[in-house]
Amino acid sequence: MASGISDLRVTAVSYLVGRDGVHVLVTTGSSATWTRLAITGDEPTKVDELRRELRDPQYVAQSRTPLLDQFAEGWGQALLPPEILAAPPDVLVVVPHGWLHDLPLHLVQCAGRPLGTRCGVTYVSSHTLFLKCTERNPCREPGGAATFDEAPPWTGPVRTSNAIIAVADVNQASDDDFGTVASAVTGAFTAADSVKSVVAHVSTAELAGADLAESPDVLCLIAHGWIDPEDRLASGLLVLEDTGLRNYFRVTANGKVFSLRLLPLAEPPAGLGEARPAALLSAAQLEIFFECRQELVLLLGCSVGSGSLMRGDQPASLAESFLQCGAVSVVAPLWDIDYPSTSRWAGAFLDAWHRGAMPKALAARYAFGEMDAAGIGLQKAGALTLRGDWI
Amino acid sequence: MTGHDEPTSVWEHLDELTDGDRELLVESAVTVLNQGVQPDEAITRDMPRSVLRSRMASALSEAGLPASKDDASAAMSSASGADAARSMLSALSRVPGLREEIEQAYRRREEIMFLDFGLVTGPALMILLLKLKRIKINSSGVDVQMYDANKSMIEMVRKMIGI
Repeated sequence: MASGISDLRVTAVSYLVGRDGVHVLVTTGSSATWTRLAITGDEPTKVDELRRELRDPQYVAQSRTPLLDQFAEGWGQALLPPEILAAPPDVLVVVPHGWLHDLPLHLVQCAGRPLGTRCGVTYVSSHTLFLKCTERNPCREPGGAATFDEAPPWTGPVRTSNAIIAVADVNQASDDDFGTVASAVTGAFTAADSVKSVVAHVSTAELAGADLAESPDVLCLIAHGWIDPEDRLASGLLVLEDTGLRNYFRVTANGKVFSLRLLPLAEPPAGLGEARPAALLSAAQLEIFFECRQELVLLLGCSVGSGSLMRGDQPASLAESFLQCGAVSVVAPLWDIDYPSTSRWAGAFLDAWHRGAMPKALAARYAFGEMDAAGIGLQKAGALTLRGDWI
Repeated sequence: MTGHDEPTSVWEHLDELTDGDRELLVESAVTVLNQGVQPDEAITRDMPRSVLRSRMASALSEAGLPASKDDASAAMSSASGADAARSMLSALSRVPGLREEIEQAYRRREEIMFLDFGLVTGPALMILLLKLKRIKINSSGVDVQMYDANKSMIEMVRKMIGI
């Protein structure tokens, strides 16, 4: 059954963490109301402990995350406005502040099920960034997407996509493990789409950002991430070293085209023990040199979706860097999960978005709902999140 | 014929594991053995070395071994090496019930898209092996005796610190 995008109930919740507590502005199509949340004051400490648990891959691997369960079933509920939990909208845009950044609010239980299975949730670090994301979105232009399928069988495809899927597992001699995730992503596209599978190099980002007719609208990067705890801009994706002609990029200045050597702005971390020569596609490189034009960027690797908070209330993550340099929406995990869960979530999300023409937030709801219904725990089913525009 | 080969046990290839895989197996063993201690005694991956050292000193002392600051540092340093890791894993491979549980944890951990940089979990495993004489496995409820592994650990540390 087809539904209209304009009929969806969309609500934004914007947080403000102050000395006197946590305030939240709830904005709907017709009203805006400030509410002060009834929290106990020990939540920042609990958030720290929760982050520590989720950063430990052993807890996630063994599906033993007691702090995440306590958050979802207990104290996390106080961090959402009561009216949202009582009657979730179709789409919820969350604009966190301070220690609320990168917190999985979509996992909070709402009438016995995670909120993210009841409404489509997208996160964005500021109102300014949200507006930038919406302005870039071709779906919001006149004649853009208007209807979508609520459930399979998908009647589409209603659009054709031009996608680049770039894979690199620098820790292995081959990309076999990451290849299973890449297959799930590729499988969501059809023969009518143009899907290009490449090995991820630093220059892949330039290729994706190139101002070409065939510039992709979907970029999927499957690679390990690395967070430099001391320098956010030196954090990045570990990809394969560029060689030969790939080692140059073009810059146009005063009508002249210059071919410049790609020099790394940051080196891969010491002690990496990589199986193949690795390079770091750093946040600095992304933000300085590359313009991202994608409607959707999927970052399916480790350590890409969370990071420490910088001055100016900007969360330091690669997902954030991609939004800052031009992507409309980014899908990335908040913590590291396994290959099967990543493949399953990404496959379901792309099916719903690409074949069902669902807005991305609803496609995320669909993917999470499928995994939740299959009995997959929150620690694996709820890690992947949408950021940026929800359409 | 299913067309799928059953993977051979990781314990059969201890000597052939790469540094990364051996580290992963040690990390998985620490996760399983953490079930045998009180929650506040569990060893976490982000524990500062100074805290680990004091845990090592008290584990040495409980095992009746010299437990000065220098002894604890020497044990920490030895436990971080590849040889010590192989010996500790070999001791664990001889404990029925536990070896299967550790292998299962290792297989699940292998699937996580996560890259560790120079993580050293050897000292954590040594501390737990020095402390634990038995462990109840959470998932199965089985009580596993670890007296032999504990004894061989104490012997190994004796040799390491030269007493």
